[in-house]
Amino acid sequence: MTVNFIRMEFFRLTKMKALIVLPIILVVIMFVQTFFLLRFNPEGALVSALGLESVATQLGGSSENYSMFGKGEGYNYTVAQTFESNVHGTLIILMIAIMAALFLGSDYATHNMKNYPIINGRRWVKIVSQMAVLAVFVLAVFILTWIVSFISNMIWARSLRLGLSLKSLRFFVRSYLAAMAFVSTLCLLVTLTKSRAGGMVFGILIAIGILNIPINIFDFLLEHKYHWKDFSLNYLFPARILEKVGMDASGKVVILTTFCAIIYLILTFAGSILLSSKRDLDT
Amino acid sequence: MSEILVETRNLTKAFGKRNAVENVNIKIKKGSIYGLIGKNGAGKTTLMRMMSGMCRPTSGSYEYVGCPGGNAEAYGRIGSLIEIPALMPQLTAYDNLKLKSIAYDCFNDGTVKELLRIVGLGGAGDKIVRRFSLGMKQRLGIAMALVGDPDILYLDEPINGLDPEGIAEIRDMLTKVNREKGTTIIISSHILAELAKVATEFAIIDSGRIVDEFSVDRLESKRKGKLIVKCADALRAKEVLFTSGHTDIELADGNTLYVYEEGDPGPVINMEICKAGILVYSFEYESTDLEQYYLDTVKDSFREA
Repeated sequence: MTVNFIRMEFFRLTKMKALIVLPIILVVIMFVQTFFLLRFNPEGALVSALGLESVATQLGGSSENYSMFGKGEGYNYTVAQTFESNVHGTLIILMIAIMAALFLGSDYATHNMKNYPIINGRRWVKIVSQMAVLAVFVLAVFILTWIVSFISNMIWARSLRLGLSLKSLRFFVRSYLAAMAFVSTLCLLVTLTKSRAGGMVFGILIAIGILNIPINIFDFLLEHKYHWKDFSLNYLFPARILEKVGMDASGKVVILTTFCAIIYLILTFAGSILLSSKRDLDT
Repeated sequence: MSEILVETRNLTKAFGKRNAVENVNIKIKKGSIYGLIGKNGAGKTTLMRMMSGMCRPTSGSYEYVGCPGGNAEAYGRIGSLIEIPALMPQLTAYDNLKLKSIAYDCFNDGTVKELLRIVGLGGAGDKIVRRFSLGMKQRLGIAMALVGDPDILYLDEPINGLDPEGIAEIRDMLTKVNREKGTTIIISSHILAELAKVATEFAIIDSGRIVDEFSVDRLESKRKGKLIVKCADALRAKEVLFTSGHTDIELADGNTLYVYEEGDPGPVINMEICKAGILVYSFEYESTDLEQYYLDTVKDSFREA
């Protein structure tokens, strides 16, 4: 039965218009972002804005160094590094939040569950199948991001170097786990509020960084009052792990964040199942 | 005696301090069409929701004794349309049916199209449900309930919003499904005349309690239970009939008598009154239809309470 429900949820996902619209938006914005990352030169932009290109060139600089679009901050990046930058942006988490909230919430919006008395007493089947489908969706988003990073580097970077290493693979897996922990938290929120809007508002607020200010204040206090240098509250929130913890994070941080993502994933997943199993089928 | 499919024992559902359904004990026979009758808020929908496994009883229980695997197996054999149809508005009618068919592992293009045809949506399969009229949504809701060829169908007001032609189509379809596949149907409707045409068993529910449970045969006999005799001297006719053994007689006025008797006593009574030299103007059976029966029963139950 679970396999049938997974197939059904896949079919439902493929019929969502958002599945086409959101990835298109994601790819377009990501290409623009990556272009700026690889080619936008802030110094050159300033020089250009002041109309000083010829002066700068006469003073010995290369014209390439003083043009607005030349060598950007990530001009020498590998594909893995470009991927890391793209994952750190708010875009991916925003897209995942919107899609997951729409997908999970439509059951409550349409009372669709009451068409399936077969899962009475086995509500976990629905949660498991939806999470399985979203796991594939999130993976697809990550792969798409990798492809965009690859193409961007092919066009705009100094050279096309993949930069594949154990470190980059670990980053991929850890970011994926953090994204799934975020989706699972969203699932719990949608189950709790029985509302698509509830999930979406939570997802968007987190994605646009509503936690940034309190976390930064707390981190500041930790660092200056208690002299905790290696710890950040960012490591305890899946969305912040996704946005903040990079490939070069220390071993301690990698372990802490991976562990944290897994704990979130397990607790929220179990919470959703527990909550839904306490409910009547058609609510 | 037919095999019992589902049996409830003191089934009760409370919302806050109010009992929406209270101590309901009914037995539904396998292969029957069981009509639930009651006014708005009487507890029909709540009872159906409980029995179809959609909500938990506050107390009491129900058991699918006719299913070898009990309730767990029965849930997989239930099709339901309770309250509004639950449809994905952004999908086509075909895709809505396909979704449920995949989940029930019975997807087949031909079967889905056949279901659409059965409910009269043969030409609307590729239309987006959001653009459907109320009646079309109701038809699609019935088709959704029929996915997977269920053995038990719960239909709550299934003909709501349908045009007369649609009502007749759905009625014929339900009768056909019941007759050909032996599907047990539990159905509620406010249109009692329609319910009377399809159901074989009835239960009247009022304020959450079952006040009467009867078969179509009993309703039929009730129809012939009251004979209205109009004659020249009703008082003397009453005495004549009383001496000949008809005891349940009511004098309405000087020319009218009501005789309550099962079966078809008309010709005999007519003969006895005529033999006594009393002129009989007319005699007729009062037609007690389901609606009248329901109203009388609810009135009686109110008096008793």
